[in-house]
Formats: sequence, structure tokens, C-alpha cells
Amino acid sequence: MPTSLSITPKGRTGPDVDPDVTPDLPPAPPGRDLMKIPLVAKVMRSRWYPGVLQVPVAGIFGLVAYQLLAGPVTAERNPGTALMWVLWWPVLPISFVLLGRFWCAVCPFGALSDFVQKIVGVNRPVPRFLKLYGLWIIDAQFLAITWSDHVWGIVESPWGSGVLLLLLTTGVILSGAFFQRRTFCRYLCFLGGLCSNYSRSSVVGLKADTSICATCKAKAACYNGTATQAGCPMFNFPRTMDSAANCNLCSNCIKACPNDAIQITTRKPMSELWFLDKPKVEESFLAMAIMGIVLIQNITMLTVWQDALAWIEATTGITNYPLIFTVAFVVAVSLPVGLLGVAARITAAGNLENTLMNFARFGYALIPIDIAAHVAHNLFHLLAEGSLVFSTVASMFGAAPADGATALASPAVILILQMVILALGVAGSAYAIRRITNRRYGSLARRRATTVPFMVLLGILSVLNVYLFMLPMAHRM
Amino acid sequence: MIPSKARHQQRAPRNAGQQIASVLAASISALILTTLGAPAALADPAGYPAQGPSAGATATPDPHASMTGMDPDMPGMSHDETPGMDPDMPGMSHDETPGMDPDMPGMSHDETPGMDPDMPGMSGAGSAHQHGAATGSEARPQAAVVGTFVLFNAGVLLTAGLMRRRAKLTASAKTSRSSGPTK
Repeated sequence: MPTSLSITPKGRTGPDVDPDVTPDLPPAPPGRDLMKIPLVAKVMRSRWYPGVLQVPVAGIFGLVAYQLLAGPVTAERNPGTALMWVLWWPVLPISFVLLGRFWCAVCPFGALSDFVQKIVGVNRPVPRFLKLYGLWIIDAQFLAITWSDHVWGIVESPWGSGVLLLLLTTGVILSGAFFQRRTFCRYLCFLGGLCSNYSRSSVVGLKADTSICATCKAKAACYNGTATQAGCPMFNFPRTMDSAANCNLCSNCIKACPNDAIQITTRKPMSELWFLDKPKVEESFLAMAIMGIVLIQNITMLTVWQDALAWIEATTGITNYPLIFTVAFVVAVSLPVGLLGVAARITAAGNLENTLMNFARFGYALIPIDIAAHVAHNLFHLLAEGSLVFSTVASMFGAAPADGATALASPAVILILQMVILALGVAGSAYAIRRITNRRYGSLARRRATTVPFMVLLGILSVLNVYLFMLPMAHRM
Repeated sequence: MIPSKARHQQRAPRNAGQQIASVLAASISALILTTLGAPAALADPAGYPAQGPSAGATATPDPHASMTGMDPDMPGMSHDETPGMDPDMPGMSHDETPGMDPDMPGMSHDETPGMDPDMPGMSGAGSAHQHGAATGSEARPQAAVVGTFVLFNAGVLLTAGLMRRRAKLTASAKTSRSSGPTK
């Protein structure tokens, strides 16, 4: 009797194998290589890049620091405050989406770290606790700075902003003096954490052609550097790099690679969020903490905030503003984090991952609405107070200081722009939730069980943000 | 392992219709949000004046607004009517001054008549709005802070420099020992 052959793969119990158990995860599609454009290649390979940009940025930074520490004491008359919080801070998240972490390539802190390392650097390896907990330290810094801003005054206090810059500069010098590469930028900079999250949505990314890397004999020159060219300052190994989160587009690897394997590719915005294979809880936490920070920043600028404070004072007798604000701050930050946790828990009952993994994975999906809310909030400051940039800078050259901010756009235009940006962010997050789910799960039941809770969460955050943005907001300066 | 093509067939069919629906949903939500926002935007913007003095000091007071960000043209802020001012203070011309310089030191809030004591942030110790935002009269310990910054970082640089020098000397001593003359 002939033996019947099994048509199922060896080791399988039957033909109906759950495909979601061992999902076949397609990789991200390749984009257009910008290094094939001669001008881009010339700039990125130039020894003047990014130094030629770092010098003027450092100069402006020095001017800002001087004005903050020694210039006018009031925010609306201080050029440092206007340049830093009215111009630079609103434009920054937009640059992350368009150019990834490019700001870090020209950041004066990065340049300072490199300089200090060059003259006195001890170059110790990054401490293990920083590798393990650096992101949590960044999360804590972000929250602490936001809290301090409201309690002691940073944005509206030139002196406070100046002290913050001095503290950051001290951290940079400490890090550059004792540790390798740009340890501060990678593991300690609060802005770096923001850059990292937002840059995942960027339309450009750096990657290596692995087929070329497979035959490389240059002993990882892209990471280690060569005798004449430093390696990656952000501890990235381009051959295995699959994220724009920690790449500052400094082009060290491009210059060091002897095989021309490094590419700068275009990609669909937010596409990195769909193809994440190793999500991190601390990065999702940061994304939700930022959402909470935007909420509390919006709330404290509303006229209803005054009414709320008066009510609290009348009802409880508590007049201590730091205490009241701290409670509101904790609630505002905890709300999105808590809601994400609840959605993750509900989802875990219907898909194949636990609560923590769902929390980590889908926190990234909410980065687009994060960016949108952040940009929309700062758009108000840029457009409603933007004239201060011109008037305060002009006052350094003898012009009479203005009595206040003149809006660059009408309230109606600002609000419409905010709503459009929010809509884009909501759409982006909704699409990211869908793409992440569909990539991991084939069955309709699991897709539904995964998508619905996070879409509901997105809906809640969307309504909250829209409502807050539609309320009248006070100027900060 | 199920080949990806077969797996693709097992998945819920992903068709162009679903993608178009997603794009339409995003576009419609953008339109809805804009439509909702437009009437509010075009209504009387009671909350924040687009021009003029900062709303933080007037119509929509902000607890974080600097005390010295006050409108120099506010009633009662005339230079001639302000008691307690040092006439020899820099910038304090005895001639008629059209407006006060809010950056001038010594411009204590308590000495300025004509201010609304009920304005948020202007009340006494019981106010929930008092906190450490910068004021015109707030001293800035520039020498202390900048001096500490310079000294601390100089110490860091010196320490790192010494450590690096010692490491180099140790490394060069090891190298010379290992390449020393052999018998």
C-alpha cells in the first residue's frame, strides 16, 4: 500500500493554521534615493556640511542666550524669548516631519558637545543605566520642564529661559567631556526625545543598501569612522538601521563609507510607524505625555482656566497655585496615558499581544495627532504673536520696542489652520492604526478587536483637542 | 510556514474601495472640522484681541503674564502721578514722559495707583495666581548664576582634560614597556 503524503508542512497539526500566530510581516517598501540627485549628493558629501550651518546657528544661539540672561526682563520685549519661543519652537516640529531629525545636525548643543570632546574628551562608553533608562530620563525632563514653566516661569520669563539654557549647556559639556560621541543628544536631551518620536513621521530617512554592505571590507567605517572622518555620532549602524528616530542626517556615515552604500530615501509620511517591529513602552509613553502636555498648555491659556482657578479657590480654600497646577498637570498627563492603557487592555483580550505590547505598539500610531496638536497649539503663538520676532529683533538695533504683539493672521485664519492641521493629524493616526493592525493580523475578528478600541481613543482625543482649540485663547506675551 | 501569496489570499480582501473609503473619511473629517471651526472663528473673537497690548494683561488675563508686561498707557501709569519713584533713576526724565518703561527697576506694583486690585495676579498673598514669573522688580542674580555656570564647567573641562592626559600617559607607558629592548 503506498503511503499517503501529507499536504501540510511538517510539524503542523492541520491545514487550518492561524496565520496571525506567525505573521508574515512585509518590510517597508524602498523609496526614492535622493543621493542620486547630484546637488544633494554634493552637499551631503561636502566637508563643509553641516558645519557651515552650525556656525550661524551657534551665533544666533549665543545671541539668544545673552538676551535671555541680560536683555529686557519682560518676555514681549526680549528678542531671545521671541526668537526661541515664538519662532523656533513652533517651526521645530514642522521641520521634524519634513526633514526628520535634521535640526540635531545643526543644533549648537551638538556642535558644543563635539568641540568639548575634541579638546578634553575622555570618551568613556555610555553608562548602562543610560542605555536602559535614558528615554525615561528624557520623559521625566520633559514633564519637569513643562511643570517648571507654569510654576516658576520659563517661556514667559526670559531669565527662566536663560537658566534653562545654562542647565542644558552644562549637561552637554558634562556629557561631551566624559562620554563617547553625542551621548547627550541620544540619551539625555529632552528635545532629542521629541525629535525622535516626531521624526518617525518624517518623509525622509537614511538607510544603507544592505546588498553592498554584505560585501563591505571597511570594518564598519560608517559606524567606527576612518582616520579622517568620524563615524556616526548617534550610535547608529546604518546597515541595520530601520528608523529615522535617531539619525540626525549629519552625513558622517555617507562620508566615511567607501562603497557609496548609504542612501537618503523618501518615504510616505508616518510610514515608519506602520512597520515598527520593536516598539518601546517609553517612547509610547512619551507620545502620550506630550499629548497631555499639549492639553494642559491649551487649558491654562483659556479664559475658562481663570474661572476654574476662582472656583477651586472658592470651593476648597486652596490658593496655592503650584499645588493646583500640579494636580491639574498630573491629571492632564495621566489622562492620555491612562486611556491608551485602557485601550491596550481591551485590545489584548481580542488579539495576540498583551497589554504592554499593545500599549507600546499603538502609542506610536497616535504620534500624528500628537504632532498635529503640538503644531496647532504653537501655530497660535507663531501667528498671533509673531510680530514680536520682528519688533524685538529690531529693537536691538535701536528701533522703538512695540507695546505688544500684532497678529500676523486673523483669529479666524488661525483657527481654520489649526482645525485643518488637527484633521490631518487625526486622519494620520487613524490610518496608522489601520495599517499597523492590518500588517499584523489577517483575520477580520482580530483586526476589529484591535482597531476599534484605539479608534475610540483617537476619537476622544480628537474631540478634546478640537473643543479646546475652539475656545478663546490668551496670548502668552 | 504558509507562503506569503497563500497567506495574502487568506487575509480579508484589501481592495481599492477600502482605501478610497479611508481617504474619503479623512477628507470628510477635515471638512467637518473646518466647517465646525469656521463659525466660531468668524464669530466675535471675545477671547483674544489680535492687536494691541497683550491679552494676558487685559481682556483675558493670564496668571503667567509678567507683572511688568503691563500696558504703560494704562490709567494711573503716568510718570507724574507715581509716588515713590527715584527722580534720579536712569531714564526718569523730569520732562513729561509719554509712557513708562516697564523694564525699569524699582517699578514695584504696589506703588502704582490706578491699578485694578482685583486683576488676577495683582492681589495679595492669598491669590492662587501668584507664582514666580518674571517681574520688572525681580532681581536677576546674573553674576551668581553665570559665575557658577562658568566655574562649574571650567572644573568639568579641567577634570576631563586631566583624566585624558593621564590616560594618554598610561597608554604610552604601556606601549613603551611592551616595545622595550629584549635580552
